[in-house]
Amino acid sequence: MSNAWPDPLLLMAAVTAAVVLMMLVAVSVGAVLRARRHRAAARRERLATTIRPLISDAMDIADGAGSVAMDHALRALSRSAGETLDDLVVALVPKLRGTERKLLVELLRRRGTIERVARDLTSRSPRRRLSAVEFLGAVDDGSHAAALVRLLDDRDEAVRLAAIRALGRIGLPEAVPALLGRLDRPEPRRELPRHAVTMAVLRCGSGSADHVLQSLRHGGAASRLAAAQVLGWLGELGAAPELRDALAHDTSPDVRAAAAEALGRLGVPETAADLVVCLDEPHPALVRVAAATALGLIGDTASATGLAMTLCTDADLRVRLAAAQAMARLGGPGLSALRVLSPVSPHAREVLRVTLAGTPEPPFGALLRTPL
Amino acid sequence: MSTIALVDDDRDICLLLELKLRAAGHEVLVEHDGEAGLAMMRDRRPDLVILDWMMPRLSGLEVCLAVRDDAELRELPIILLTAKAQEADVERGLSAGADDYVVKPFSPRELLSRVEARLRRSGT
Repeated sequence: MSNAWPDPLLLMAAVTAAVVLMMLVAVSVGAVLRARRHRAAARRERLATTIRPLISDAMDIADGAGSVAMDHALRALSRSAGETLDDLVVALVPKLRGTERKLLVELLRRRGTIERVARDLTSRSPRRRLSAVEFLGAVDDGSHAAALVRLLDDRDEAVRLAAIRALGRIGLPEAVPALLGRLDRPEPRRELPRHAVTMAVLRCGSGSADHVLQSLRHGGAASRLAAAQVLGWLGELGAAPELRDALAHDTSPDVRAAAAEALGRLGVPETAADLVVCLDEPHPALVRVAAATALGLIGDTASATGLAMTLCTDADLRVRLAAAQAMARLGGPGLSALRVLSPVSPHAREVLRVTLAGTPEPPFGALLRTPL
Repeated sequence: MSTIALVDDDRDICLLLELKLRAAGHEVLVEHDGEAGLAMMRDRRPDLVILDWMMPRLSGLEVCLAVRDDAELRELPIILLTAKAQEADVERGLSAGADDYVVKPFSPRELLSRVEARLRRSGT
């Protein structure tokens, strides 16, 4: 009977040959793909070299005749040249400002690029929706703001975040109620990061102050908190009465603390008395810390007494430290009080030492860790 | 015709500004990192430099300081073109020896006006 199994040596040789052949094929395919990529990149760069002067000319258009000539030039572009132009313009727009930026965005609009990309806002692919959102944010196109607002509820987290950022970049005050209101409607598995929303509202600028005030007055706790923060950062002096009201009456300690911080940023001396009231212990520690810090920023020396009492008597270490730091910021009267209290208060001693040494004030957390 | 050095690692901006500056009649020299930019300035002695801050190998600030330390380059007008927009950054840039400070995003038109103004003042 003949042996049915092949010779082992032959088998090994065949396997080795197959492996070597596969490796050769893989290396060849890799080399071909790399060469193709290089050729495509070189083609794109050649195209880009011919397109860039067109983009430069587009930024210099001063009149209707120039626009007509530009339209002719755009219509003459091949499809690949048009795509290259779009890519180059989209890369440039975020780096420019002023008339040239507006002209480039107008260029994209005339090419129909913005409308074409905007169709992807309702694509089934999250990658395409994300790409469209980022594009519209980069070109500051506000004409699709409503669609961007809808994407605050997108099932994809990256799309939601991109929509928040795009609305902030575009900076439409009209989008602010939707942004802040969404904080009050937490959707399971479709959360919006509060900080990202707050920054986007902040980017909408002073023009959004009325909308932000509305949220402070009538919104839920989350939007009231964001609203208080934004008003402080925007420096909206006109919001001081509403912030004082929130400091005194809001049901949320977080909102009250944010209102105190905002009043500190606004630096209105007339609000110091309201903040001193908040140094007392029935108020939550969070609010007492914020009130003390705000008093330091406002710099009203009349609050030195209230801060000194807090430094000596408050049960919470963080509050005592905040009071000491605020007293240092008051200058003369505050420093004098710290000197008087130094023998009995290690926080007064430490803050005084740092202040007199002229070293940068250590962050609050570092002071908490300083051996006393 | 003046020679303008452009030192920025952002190639899109370099290509755009190169077009604009050439269209305005200037010769343009481009480098994409601080070290190469400094070497180019020492070798080619441009009439003005537009300098980015955040760059590989040598930052724009370091280039500024090196230029002001160099007896042959000391008077070279420098315009810093950077995304660093805080007041403290502007102070640092001007203290390091820059003559002007333009924040990104920027207007090419405005930048060119500043270039022309600097060149006029330096008699080029």
